[in-house]
Amino acid sequence: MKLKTSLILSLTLLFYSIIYLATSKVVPCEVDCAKTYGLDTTLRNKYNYFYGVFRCARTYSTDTLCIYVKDTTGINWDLFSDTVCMYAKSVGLSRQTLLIMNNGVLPPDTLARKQCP
Amino acid sequence: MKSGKSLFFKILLHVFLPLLVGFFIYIFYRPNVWITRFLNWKFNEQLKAESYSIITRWIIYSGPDFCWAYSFTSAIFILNHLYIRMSQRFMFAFVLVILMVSEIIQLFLKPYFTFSMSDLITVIAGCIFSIMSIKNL
Repeated sequence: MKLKTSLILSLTLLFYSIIYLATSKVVPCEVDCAKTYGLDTTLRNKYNYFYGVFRCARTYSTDTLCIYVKDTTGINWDLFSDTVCMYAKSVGLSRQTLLIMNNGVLPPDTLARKQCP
Repeated sequence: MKSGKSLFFKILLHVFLPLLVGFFIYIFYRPNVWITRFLNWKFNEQLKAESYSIITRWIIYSGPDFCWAYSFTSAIFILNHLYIRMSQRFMFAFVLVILMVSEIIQLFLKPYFTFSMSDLITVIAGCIFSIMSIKNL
């Protein structure tokens, strides 16, 4: 087999190996991830303006939760963040800092900030 | 050999399109994958995944593997046609071994990789389907 052929075959195998590794890797959802997922499920079932909850760890401290919502008129976001604190505590996420983020604009802006007890 | 334009079209159709389709399903429909978690992307379709019918769930969970295997087999067979020029039976065995090893090796790489028999069947099906589609290259 010529060098060019070997090179093309090797690059093809490498390319598909990278895709395979990148898409097959599973990140186990345990402890904090499981709690956050539980909070996400609870809120999703109750509020149609709720998009999702994530750790905002890349920009904030690790006890900060970003709550993404659709900015809907008539919703009191401070009151909503109190409710989220309650649900967060019920799934084992106490003393969290909540950021209620408007997901309708880029970058998302903060509608409310709350330190949960 | 077919004309360059026809071959280019076949490469697009059998190699790149399946990859794009698989990537689309993986990113937008499969829940809890590291790429979307890392990028903080969340789509409503990901959360509905568990409530879909068994066929739709198969498409979401095994579709990307099928597309990957299809695209990989097509790429190797097109390369064989253009450069390598080994027997099709040898290339079929070569591809099949790689696909089967790539799935079976996951048995030993828990918890970061998970083996499932349906994935193994899916990649073999993707390989066979690709060969049937591009046999008249």
